Amino acid sequence: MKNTKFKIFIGAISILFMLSSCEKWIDTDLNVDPNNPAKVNYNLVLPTIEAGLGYQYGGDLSRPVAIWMQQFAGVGNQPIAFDVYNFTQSDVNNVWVWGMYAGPMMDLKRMIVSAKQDSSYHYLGVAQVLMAFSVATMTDLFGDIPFSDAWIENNLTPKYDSQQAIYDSLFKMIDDAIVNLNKPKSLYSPGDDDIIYKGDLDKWTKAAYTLKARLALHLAKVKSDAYQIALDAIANGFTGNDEDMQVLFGTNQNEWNPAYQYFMNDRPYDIVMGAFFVDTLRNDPRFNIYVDTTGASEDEAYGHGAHPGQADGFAYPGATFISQNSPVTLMSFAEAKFIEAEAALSSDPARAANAYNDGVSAAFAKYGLSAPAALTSETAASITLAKIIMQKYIALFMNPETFTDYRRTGYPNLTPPSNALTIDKKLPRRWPYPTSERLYNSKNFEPYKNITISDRVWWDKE
Amino acid sequence: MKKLTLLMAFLHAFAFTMLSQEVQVKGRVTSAEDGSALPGASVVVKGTNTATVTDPEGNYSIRVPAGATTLVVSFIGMKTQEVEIAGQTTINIAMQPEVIGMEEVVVTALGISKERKTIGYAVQDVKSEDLTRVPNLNMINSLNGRVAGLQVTSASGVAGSSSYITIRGANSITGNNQPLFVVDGIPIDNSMNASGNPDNGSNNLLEGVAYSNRAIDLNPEDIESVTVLKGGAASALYGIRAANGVIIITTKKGKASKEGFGTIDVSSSVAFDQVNKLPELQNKFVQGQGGKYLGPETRNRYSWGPKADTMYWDGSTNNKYDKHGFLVGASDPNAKIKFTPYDNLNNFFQTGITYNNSVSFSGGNENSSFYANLTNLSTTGIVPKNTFDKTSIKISGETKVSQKITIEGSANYIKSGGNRIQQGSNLSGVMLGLLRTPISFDNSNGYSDPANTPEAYMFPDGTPRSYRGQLPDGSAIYDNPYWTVNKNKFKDDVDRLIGYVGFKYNIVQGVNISYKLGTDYTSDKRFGYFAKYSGANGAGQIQKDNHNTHIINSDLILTITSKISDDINYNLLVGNNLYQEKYEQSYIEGNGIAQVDFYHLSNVSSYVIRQNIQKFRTAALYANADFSYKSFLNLTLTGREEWSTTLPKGNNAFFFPSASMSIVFTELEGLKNNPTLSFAKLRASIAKTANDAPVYYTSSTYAQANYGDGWTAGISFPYLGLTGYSWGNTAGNPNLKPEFTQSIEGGIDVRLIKNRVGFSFTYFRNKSTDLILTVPVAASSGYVEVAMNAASMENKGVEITADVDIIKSQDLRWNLGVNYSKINNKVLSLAEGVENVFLGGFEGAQVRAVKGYSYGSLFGTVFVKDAKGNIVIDSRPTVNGEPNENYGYPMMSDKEEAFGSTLPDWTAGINTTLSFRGFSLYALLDIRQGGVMWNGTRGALVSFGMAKETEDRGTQTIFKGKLAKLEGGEFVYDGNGNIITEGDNNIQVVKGESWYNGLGGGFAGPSEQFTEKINWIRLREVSVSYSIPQSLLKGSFVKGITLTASGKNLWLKTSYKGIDPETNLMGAYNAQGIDYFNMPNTRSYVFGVKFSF
Repeated sequence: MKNTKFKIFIGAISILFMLSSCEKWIDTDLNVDPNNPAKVNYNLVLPTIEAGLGYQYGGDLSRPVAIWMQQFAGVGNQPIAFDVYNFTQSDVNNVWVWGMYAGPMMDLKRMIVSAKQDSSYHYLGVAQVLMAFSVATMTDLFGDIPFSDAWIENNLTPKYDSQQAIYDSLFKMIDDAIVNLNKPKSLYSPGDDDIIYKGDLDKWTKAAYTLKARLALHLAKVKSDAYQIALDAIANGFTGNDEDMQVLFGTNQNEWNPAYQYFMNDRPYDIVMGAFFVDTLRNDPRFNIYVDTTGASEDEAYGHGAHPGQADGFAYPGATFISQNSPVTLMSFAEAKFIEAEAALSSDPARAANAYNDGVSAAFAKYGLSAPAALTSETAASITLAKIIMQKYIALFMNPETFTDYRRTGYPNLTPPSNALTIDKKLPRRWPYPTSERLYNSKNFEPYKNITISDRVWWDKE
Repeated sequence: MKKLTLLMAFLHAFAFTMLSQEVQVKGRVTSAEDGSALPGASVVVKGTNTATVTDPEGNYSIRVPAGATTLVVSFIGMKTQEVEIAGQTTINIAMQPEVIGMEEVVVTALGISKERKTIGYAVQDVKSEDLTRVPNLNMINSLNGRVAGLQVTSASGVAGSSSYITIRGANSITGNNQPLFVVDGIPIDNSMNASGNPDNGSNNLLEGVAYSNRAIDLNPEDIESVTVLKGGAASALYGIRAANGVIIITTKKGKASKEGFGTIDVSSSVAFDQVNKLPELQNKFVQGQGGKYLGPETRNRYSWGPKADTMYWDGSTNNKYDKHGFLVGASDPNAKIKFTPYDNLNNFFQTGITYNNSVSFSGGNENSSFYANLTNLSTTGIVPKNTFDKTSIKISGETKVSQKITIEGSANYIKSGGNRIQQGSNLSGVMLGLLRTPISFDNSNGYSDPANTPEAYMFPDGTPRSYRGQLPDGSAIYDNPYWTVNKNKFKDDVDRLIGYVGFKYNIVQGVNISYKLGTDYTSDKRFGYFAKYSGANGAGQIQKDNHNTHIINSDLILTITSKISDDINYNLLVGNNLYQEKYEQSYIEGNGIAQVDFYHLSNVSSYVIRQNIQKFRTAALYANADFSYKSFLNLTLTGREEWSTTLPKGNNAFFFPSASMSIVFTELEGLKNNPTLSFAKLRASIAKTANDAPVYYTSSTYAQANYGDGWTAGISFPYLGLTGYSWGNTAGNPNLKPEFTQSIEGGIDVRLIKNRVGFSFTYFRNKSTDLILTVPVAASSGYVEVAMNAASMENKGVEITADVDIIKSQDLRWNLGVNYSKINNKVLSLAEGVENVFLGGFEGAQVRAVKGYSYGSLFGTVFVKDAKGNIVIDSRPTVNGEPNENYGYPMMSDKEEAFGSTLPDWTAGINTTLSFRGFSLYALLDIRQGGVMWNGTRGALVSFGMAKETEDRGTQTIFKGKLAKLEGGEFVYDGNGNIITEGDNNIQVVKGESWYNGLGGGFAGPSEQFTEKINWIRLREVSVSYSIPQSLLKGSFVKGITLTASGKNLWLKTSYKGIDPETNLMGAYNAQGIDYFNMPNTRSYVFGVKFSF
């Protein structure tokens, strides 16, 4: 008996000792992540947003569109499929998920909410311009998308907004941004952390107006005063090439321009120059800026055209566009002038002609060239929509805006490949929704599940 | 065995009476087989803790208290005997060899030795000879085919590559699914850490080199036995890290020898490795497109050029890509030398050689034992320049400092690592460049030893020579494999220390306290580079990547042994475990190599630096109670209360119990010593086990910013001199709670005809609930994934093992063993609205966990099908008035389908041992049925025109499928959106380049074409060994010599159209079943010799 009691005593003491050691050992602070901060200042997030947006705009958002617009041709691996419009939900996953919604757009939304709270109006205004730019880019490609219900904590299945409602909100957001950018006081203001304008709020204001004009123009077929809104806005828009809204890249490997990475490093010769674009430029002084013919034989047509399997020599984009530190242009002065030209065409053809001539000059000047007189001598009588869009198409090389212009105007006049895989064998009219929305937001996605890339978005009226 | 004796000694603790009179008993313990002395045998007075050990001559002497009736004598490998004292003072004991089967003792959770016959759950062990007979670089591979319910997949046959192991299937969705490895009571690290910029996450496993899982560091020579704890009841005592079962490794301990000095074993082996299977390539068409030859200078990637037998070299001397001149057609006036195809593939691989040398010392006396081993292994792989080396030094010992206190300790230092080779989806990957090389390009440039001849892969100006020419900056597009093995190096250098110190204190009779403090510290220093002009990195890149893992484990255990009555014994154990794991990675990437061929971090133009620290702790109180009634009815109850720092306060403590019981019918009086039914046991168990969360899942944070786009490496911060953060893509969850798995298991074990035939059957079902994972969410929420207790999953299955001693005589023994297992896994639920979770893979072929499907199902793109699943053939001759180029061809669907599980339907192993005197023959046949693999290699090679099947290019074919029904020239759809078909396809079309490079290929076409079922039968091991008879060695100082010749993978039968399908690109990772330019596997021939002194 004595022995048993002793055993129980030893057992009890041991358990108590063990229990106390457990409690001391479990330090719950160990689960505070030492690798990642819970809070950072605006100046550490703005560069991320701008660089991230620029990377997508010059990368995943541009390449498939530039193939469809026949500025490029897909000749190897997956881009062969893009060339014949075999472009599926998984092809847009990266850009939607990491590239935009959970990337710069989430950071923009958090900045907008926070800057409103602490009266950092200047960061607020910049964030609103960039948010409007991002949302517009997405809705123009995808149609209806989650917006008003997106980026809200604990809401994992945001509702979709109609493109019309989104456009209404974007105009308001841009107007609001202009007000905020011009507030005299702001708790924090951007400076060198702003990769695009180094904190120059005047340039941001001009960018806001130019963006407003760009968006208004998109609605030409669905909004009666669209041209007027565009003309009113563009009056306060960009006034020179030095105001172009562009994201800078660097020569360090982690700072390389997305096109450089794609064409020169990671995916060489999967994409080459498209025959249509090369032919368009053949007698243009900008030919050697846009097209690098090294390695392409003279007697063969440059570019592939949209017919895979032709084993011609190839032409490559020029170094201006695919160097390590080539900037990615989001919006330019030249674009502003072409917007003005198009908006004024029906009401004031003389203004349209002047704006066009200025646009062409700006586009040439951007590469240190003077435009030939033949390209800058349009008059009220000679100016046409086809000319405006064609020059805009050249000036906005690799910019997804060309696809929007094509859908609105039908210019340039592109011939789809005979083996196109769209159901109507014509050029696509939008992007497919990504796998992630289909799978993880299925209830809200229900109305969109049968949409194909041949279906038109709201502003894209026949 | 010693532990068992001690345990038995305690059984009669209560019956112990006070000392009155003592009697001295002495005698000699010998082997009944040959009469030799057995030194170190344990002699215990039953019911007391009076014990002694025999001296080198086998003699013992023990004081027997009055009233004691029995001596218990035990020795490893011999059957424990109980001898009545009955007044004798000299008792000589002849020990019988242990009968293989149920009498033996197995090591179970926490190192508790149990008699196999009493255990209430399935337990299987692997002996040391199985681990060393055919030496495997990675000891995990030695478990392959031997244990039912255990699945092992080696990543490839390259030296140092990893192996993935699961027991009874996967229990976690995105977390670890591999078992816990416990060496002598210390949990050790078996992780596989990838290199490359950590921003790329698991994509680093699709490219880069093959990494090792850290169990590769274990030295098979040190291992005495491996016990596999499969079910919840078996592993419950280990707590959260044992949620996927446990591999318990018991290392060799020192043994007293006859001469009292010790035994020295020296073993040495050499192995020759060869590639065992390669994809079939075409050798009829040269580089180019559209039937036109396009040489390296055009950078053309394809082999859609003209027929090889129409080609000639022009004999000119100015083609830097080929010494025979330029290739021209037969009609060309310069045609001079008839072209003959180059065989790049078969010329590339070499015979790998592995040398394995080991010396061990084992010795001891009655108070102490000591073991030491030094092993060195050195491998050169089948790929030139691939090496792996491992040196292991281990010492362990145990000594009694007093009658009551024993201290023990062990230290094992391992140095391992090698030169690893770029592989997979990586423009510098060996197989990618090698398999894509057209037959008209000679990677070796005519040199007989191209791997050691720079002129083979490099031009005089230092730029690379490869079949796709160069980019304008001089860099390669795809690397010549000889360039990559010479110029893109990657080395790892691991220093690891696994060790423990411990003591055992016998407080009072029947009460013991033991304590063990163990550590596993691994420093893995890696250094690699891509030379300037390399395919994957034309500017050049240097990587310095250090991984440090440090585990500390403390176990304090109190055991109480006693009995309730003469028939009912019990054994109580209470323990405390404290555990800490710290992992730190420091990654420095230098980009843009300035001075070529100088690889130092100073010699670059920019840096990317990443730091990742993870630290967590757990604490636990646990208890185990064993009750036994006459060995007939046995019951074990366990419970564990665990705390973890990775769960939020309030949810971070949790309890999980288990119960197991067995009924041993042959212990019943009427059935004892039955000549036919030697043994029969029914067993059943139920358990609940738990798991905690990965670190830092409870809150959301910012993260160092980086952006990629799926095709390019992307950008990262610091950027243009600016620091940048982005809100994390994963939402943390402050309400996480632990995961639980409920498991039940039942089975029978039967042995017949004097133990000669054995059969064992087990059924199990594990159901895991509240599984923690980061659930993918719609990115429009702002997050990519959210940490949640989301999923539930079930594994159920059967395991059958059988063995029979077909012949069992003094000289000749022939034994046959079979194991079979079938596991059905089903993902029962994922988070609400989530149908599937991505585990790994590529855009078109992804391994996922999908609700309602088996874990690890392969998903991918498909052809358009009708409602019945027939492929729909485009029957529209024209579309919009234009001729339809797709007329007569299948069409690509925008849907995705599940192709099946990457896990096998069932697996089986058949082994046989035939021994005659000193000869022994062993063979292991391994059978796998079912499961799918994505043969992305074949898909790419079809697109490139290099796959054998593209040799039929240009032939007419009628695709199998149904014709789409047309109305007014348009498709007709049914209510579900499926195209309606009518009749079999009868349209004859050309199967040519545009088909193969389009929908018939791996890049533009559906991945279902390249998803293949995996079945195999392989002769995994065969070995012949011969031990030189003792009689020949008598009088010499050599105690034994054994010669072995063995082979691995000597024969393989499979329908898989690529390399050996036992492969996985991502290595020891949850996403299995991916083959994208994987390295091949090997067949080996091994010759070994072992001396004992």
